[in-house]
Amino acid sequence: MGGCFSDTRGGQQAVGGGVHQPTTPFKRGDGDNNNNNNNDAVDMFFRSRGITALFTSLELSFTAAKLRDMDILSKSDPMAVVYVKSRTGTLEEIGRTEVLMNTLDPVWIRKVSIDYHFETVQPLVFHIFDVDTKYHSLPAKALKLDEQDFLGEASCVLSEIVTKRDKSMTLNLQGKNGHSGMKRLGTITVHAEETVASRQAVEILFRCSNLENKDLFSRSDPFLRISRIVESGASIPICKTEVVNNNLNPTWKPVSLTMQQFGTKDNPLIVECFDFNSSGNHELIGTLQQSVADLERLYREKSGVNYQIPSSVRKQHMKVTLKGQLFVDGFSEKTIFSFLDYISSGYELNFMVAVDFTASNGNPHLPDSLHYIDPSGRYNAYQQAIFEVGEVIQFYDYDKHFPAWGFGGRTKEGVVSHCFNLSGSASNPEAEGVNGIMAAYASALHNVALAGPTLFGQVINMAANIASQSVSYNQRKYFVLLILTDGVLTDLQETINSLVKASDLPLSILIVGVGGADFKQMEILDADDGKRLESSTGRIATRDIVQFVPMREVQGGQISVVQSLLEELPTQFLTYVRSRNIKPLNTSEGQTSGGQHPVQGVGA
Amino acid sequence: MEKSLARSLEVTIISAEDLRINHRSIKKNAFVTVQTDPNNSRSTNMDTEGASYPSWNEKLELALPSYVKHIRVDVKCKTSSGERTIGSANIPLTDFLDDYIPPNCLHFLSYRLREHDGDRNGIVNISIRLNAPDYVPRALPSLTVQAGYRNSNACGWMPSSRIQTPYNNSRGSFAIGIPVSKGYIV
Repeated sequence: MGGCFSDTRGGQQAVGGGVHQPTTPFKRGDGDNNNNNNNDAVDMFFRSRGITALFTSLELSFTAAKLRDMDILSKSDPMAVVYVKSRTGTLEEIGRTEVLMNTLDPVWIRKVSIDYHFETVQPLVFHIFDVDTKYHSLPAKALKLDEQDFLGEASCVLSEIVTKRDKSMTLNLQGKNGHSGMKRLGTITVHAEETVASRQAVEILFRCSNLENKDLFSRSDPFLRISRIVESGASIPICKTEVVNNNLNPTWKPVSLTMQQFGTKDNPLIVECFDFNSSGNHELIGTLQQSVADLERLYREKSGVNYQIPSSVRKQHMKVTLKGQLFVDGFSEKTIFSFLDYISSGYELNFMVAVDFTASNGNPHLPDSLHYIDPSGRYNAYQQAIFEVGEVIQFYDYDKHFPAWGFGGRTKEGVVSHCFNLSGSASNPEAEGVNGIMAAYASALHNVALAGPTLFGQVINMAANIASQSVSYNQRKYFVLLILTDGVLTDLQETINSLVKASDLPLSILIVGVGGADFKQMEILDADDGKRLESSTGRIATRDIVQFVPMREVQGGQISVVQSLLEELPTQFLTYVRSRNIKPLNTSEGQTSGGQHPVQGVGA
Repeated sequence: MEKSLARSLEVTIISAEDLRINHRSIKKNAFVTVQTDPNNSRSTNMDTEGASYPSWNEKLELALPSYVKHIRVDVKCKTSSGERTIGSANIPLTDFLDDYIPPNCLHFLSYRLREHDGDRNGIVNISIRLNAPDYVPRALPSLTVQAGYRNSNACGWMPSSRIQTPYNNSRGSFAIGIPVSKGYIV
């Protein structure tokens, strides 16, 4: 749980138990200071800023069926090799399974680890080989693949696997270079599993009674520190409570411990009670050792356990039992779900696009225009952003029908519209697939004259309406609106008002600034400095829903800035669902009509 | 009892941020009073731990007389010299009655506090839900959906059947109840 060790806000606050803090599965390691300037109040809104390393470790496991038989006297001895395909098309091996003997339907044991990154498309290629008997004494890693018989290959994108309801995907094997010929080469099934130890956590409400008085002129200011005993015998602090001033019978705010923190329920924990001292030299009041299972029993039996204290510094093992007791007034187990738990249980991300058609982009027929469509097929900045964001998100949108609008353009009717359908249809804003958006965008450039001014309000309101209808119908959807713009907003305050109003909806807005204009306003909308957006009536955004990047940073850099745009989406999504206590769907409730995502028990 | 409260509000006072008196952060004892009209007013307990970032998480229920257009939230502090109002927010009913999502859904709202002379103070975070058995919402300025609020319980639990909207044309659309009935369960 992040922030447990952050010594900020004047010492005492620092020890805050941090019950409401977001435990994000994308965070690696504990004790990072991501809430150092935050506070319980902000934590209530589960704002989890500054989290880097937004990735999740996955383990891929493999089975295959009906493989080709290459051996004469026995069946094939198959092994699977997994590659990541780079943008240039080269394959990089990330792992391989063991060799199984004499089977055409192998179930491999060895798993292959991969880091799942939401913000990128991660193409995977699987090769299956029949390993010749003469190499069987060699470890799988040492095998030279060009000496083995090739049984087939298959490819997919990692997002396709994790959006499946059971995170499993079956692929038909093909011959080298995609030639399947006439033969059936069998299938490979890939299953992805998050490698988090557990989603379980316990929340415990501690109380003490009859604590010893350590202060001269007042009573003690006690707080608890909980540590886990590791195998070496050392103890590692995992959580602290807040300080209760001047009280020998204190009750603390509930403490939340994840399974990663406490290990197993029988793992002994040390619960130390200290008297807070502003010098940082806290005085030990007493210590005791209890496992989570013990604490649960204390709660059920409503009994206390006595504190002890080493009788002297030298004789650490000689303990004196104290009058002070520890009680557990509350104990509950809860489950912390990850982004993938929601996604694989059928929660969708729905993608929407809005493109700037203001005149400042320049005449689209001229090569210096930001809207110029190069006959050579090279993407302009708008196309590039649509493609890069769409390419990632499309896998999370089941029907791949994307509403696509333009703003600031003069449509065929002769009026300037601040939200028109790129498709040209009066009623249906949807384009089919990312290529559909590209086509609609290109055709709109022919049919719509660039005009102005630049107003976001209508587009945001339209997206908010769609998102709100989804809420009204209890649909499990989260919406992502991509706004592409070259310029300065005419309606900054109005846009802020719309954003504040939309901040309570399942909606994130990504803004990409195209061209060389001054995008200071967009930085205001982004609110990354921690200032929450404030409407003209004094209403304040309940959470941050806007991300902004200027496109010029995209070019040149190795890592696309579009990725950094998408990076925060899983966190924004989790902030939304957690604040509303929305759980992933499990098992049979989620009946889909298409059959593409068969209903299966999801071990959530 | 239920009938006499034909229209009531469920206001959860979640927390406040950066509360100041005379530009100095308060130490403790902040509490919040909500009123729909002078006869309908409720208060939270005092926060003793959060200093200038108090949290309460207290649910208050208030009758909502039909003529009321605003509800008033006052954040106060008990000091040695008595009770002082730190700042107030006037919340127009339209913020949750005419919002994107139906009023019987939980609305998370935050407001800037103003001192009596208009100076800016901290922020108060609340959630509001309208309890109105016979509430008829205004028509949605929606794209194609007219049947918008057909199921008045849409924000509660489980509409039993799938409902079609323009944006779920085929696969993967769910109409499964989302338990949004509570704000923060931790």
